[in-house]
Amino acid sequence: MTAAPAPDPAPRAAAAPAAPGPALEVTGLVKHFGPVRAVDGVDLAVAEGEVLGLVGESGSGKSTLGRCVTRLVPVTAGSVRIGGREIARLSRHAIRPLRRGFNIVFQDPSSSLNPRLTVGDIAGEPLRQHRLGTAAQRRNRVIEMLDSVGLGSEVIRRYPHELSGGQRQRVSLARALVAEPALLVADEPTSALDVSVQASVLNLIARLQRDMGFACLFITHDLASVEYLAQRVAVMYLGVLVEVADRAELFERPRHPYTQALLSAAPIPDPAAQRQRRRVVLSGEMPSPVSPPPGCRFHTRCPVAVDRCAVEVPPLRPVGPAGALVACHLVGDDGTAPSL
Amino acid sequence: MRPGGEPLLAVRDLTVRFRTEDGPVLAVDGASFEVAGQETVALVGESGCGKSVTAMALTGLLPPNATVSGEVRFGGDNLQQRSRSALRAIRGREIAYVFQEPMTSLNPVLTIGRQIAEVLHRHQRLRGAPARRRAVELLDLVGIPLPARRLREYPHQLSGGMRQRAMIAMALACTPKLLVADEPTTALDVTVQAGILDVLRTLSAETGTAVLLITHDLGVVADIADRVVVMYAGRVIEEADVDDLFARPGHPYTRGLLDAVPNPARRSDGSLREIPGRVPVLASSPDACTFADRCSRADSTCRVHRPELVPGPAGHPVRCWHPLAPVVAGERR
Repeated sequence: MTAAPAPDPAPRAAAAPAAPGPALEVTGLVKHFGPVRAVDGVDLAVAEGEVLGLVGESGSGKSTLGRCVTRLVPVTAGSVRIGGREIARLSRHAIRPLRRGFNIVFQDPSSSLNPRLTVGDIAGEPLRQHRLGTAAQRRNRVIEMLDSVGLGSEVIRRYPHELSGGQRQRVSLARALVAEPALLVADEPTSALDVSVQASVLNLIARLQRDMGFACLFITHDLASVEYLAQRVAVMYLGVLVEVADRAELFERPRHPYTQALLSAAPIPDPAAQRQRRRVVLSGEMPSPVSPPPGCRFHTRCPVAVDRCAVEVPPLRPVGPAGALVACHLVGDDGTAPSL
Repeated sequence: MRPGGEPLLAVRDLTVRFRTEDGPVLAVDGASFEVAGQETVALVGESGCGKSVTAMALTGLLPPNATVSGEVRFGGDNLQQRSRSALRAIRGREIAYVFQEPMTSLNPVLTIGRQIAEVLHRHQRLRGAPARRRAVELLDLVGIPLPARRLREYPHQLSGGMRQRAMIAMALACTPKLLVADEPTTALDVTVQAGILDVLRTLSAETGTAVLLITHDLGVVADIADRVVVMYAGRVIEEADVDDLFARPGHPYTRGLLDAVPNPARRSDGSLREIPGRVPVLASSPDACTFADRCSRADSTCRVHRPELVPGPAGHPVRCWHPLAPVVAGERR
């Protein structure tokens, strides 16, 4: 992208704090839907300009976490600070002006784009909402943003249904980023796309992030795309985090038994390497978030669980020299992990 | 490469056209491939390549607006010439299907045991205690814990992974010679998928069933396929043993697909390979390479002459005028 600040109607003000703090800081976050304990006490921070991959399987609560930090749903308890500003308990009305500082893209762009609006109107929505610039400035900014997501200005008058899935995801990225937020939450942004299109959207997110410098919470079940895109990775299981570590550390030395199982289960596109790998097949399936198991939530499926695991909740604590955080009784303070 | 004699399944020049409101659509364009007994063959491609339509066409499962031509030989028998009722008898007993979403294929108001019993009765005339014993055996084979208890449960009481296992158990009820699995793990989480792939991998060894696996997931292909058939825009564009295909892809599209997937095993610091443009929707079969518009190697030949599926530089069949030469080990990327 050309760094031309253009008719910048959107200086990075409100959401970008003067004091260097995390772009996103979540503390003790809880979200219950009736009896369903979807997110059940999560502490997590994303530094400015950092891409944090949040991985988990269905039912882990990862998407709910994304919806909580963007306040698309009310938060049950805990704190969500974006650019230092607490938003967990703000009313819908009070939060509206702050929305310029963060945005979210979803898995299925066809259901998140209004079919009756043109691409130009969709991409310009945040600018209008926050009354940024004049009509002409907004139009220029939209053209510039569409250009940086790889769409020519000819799409501006088109409707979402006239575009391919990959193009629609580019439009939702343009909308999410047009007002230059400090934080982008991307919830499975490539999961509905074909392999070849997936690659181009992942490349695009990587390039936009480099050029624009926003922090990104990248939520996915796809470990390969996390390894490609994220600097740090958090692993979620049944409403809680079980491990948080730098990318290389996590993929080379997964410590939590669930992380180990997850990594070993994901097939890699290399038959020779695949035959050499030892796979840990977990027994059973993720328990219901209505009544999560006591103690360590993973103990019911953990191949190495001991009595203590069924009773005592393991805290997420720093282990090893590289500062990984792991919630497992069996991982030593020096980072030694049980072998499955 | 393959054991001698007639293959279990031989598809010759299979062509499928659909009449649609937007005009005719050529979904499968002269596809030919084989599956030998006990072999696992993956039919691979992105959406719209014709892989699922091919699988459905084998036993006449397509809707009435489809026109099918070509030959489907199964155990020496041309299925294209069989009546609907004959095909129905073959489906289930000799060729069984497993689809992506088991909930739509299971009957929600019947217990798992009852549904398996029906299959056993219909195709093998088994009833009562012997049928029950066989059903328990089948659930056990696909790794369902406490099989006797599961028989009394309804589909909604099972998790997604257990439902898919139950589907596979039903498909195996009559020890079919061929199991057609269409994206069987796409809707499942990876830790659940791992268990299902284990079942499919051990299947041929334990029951002698061949598997035709329809998938877009190259990781799954690398995990369980013996041989791979790659489809693009209705045509088979490459076919090879699994190791050969991943190590020495000959078609630029195959290579593009492999490079588009983030792969920790051969990571490069650069970005992922993108394939520009999109899969064409064709009304008729062009005298050209259908990938030419998206291919960096394409020249005038590719746009006016149809490439045939012929042995390429790596020895396996490739449908390309300018196939890629095998890269010397260590030189890649």
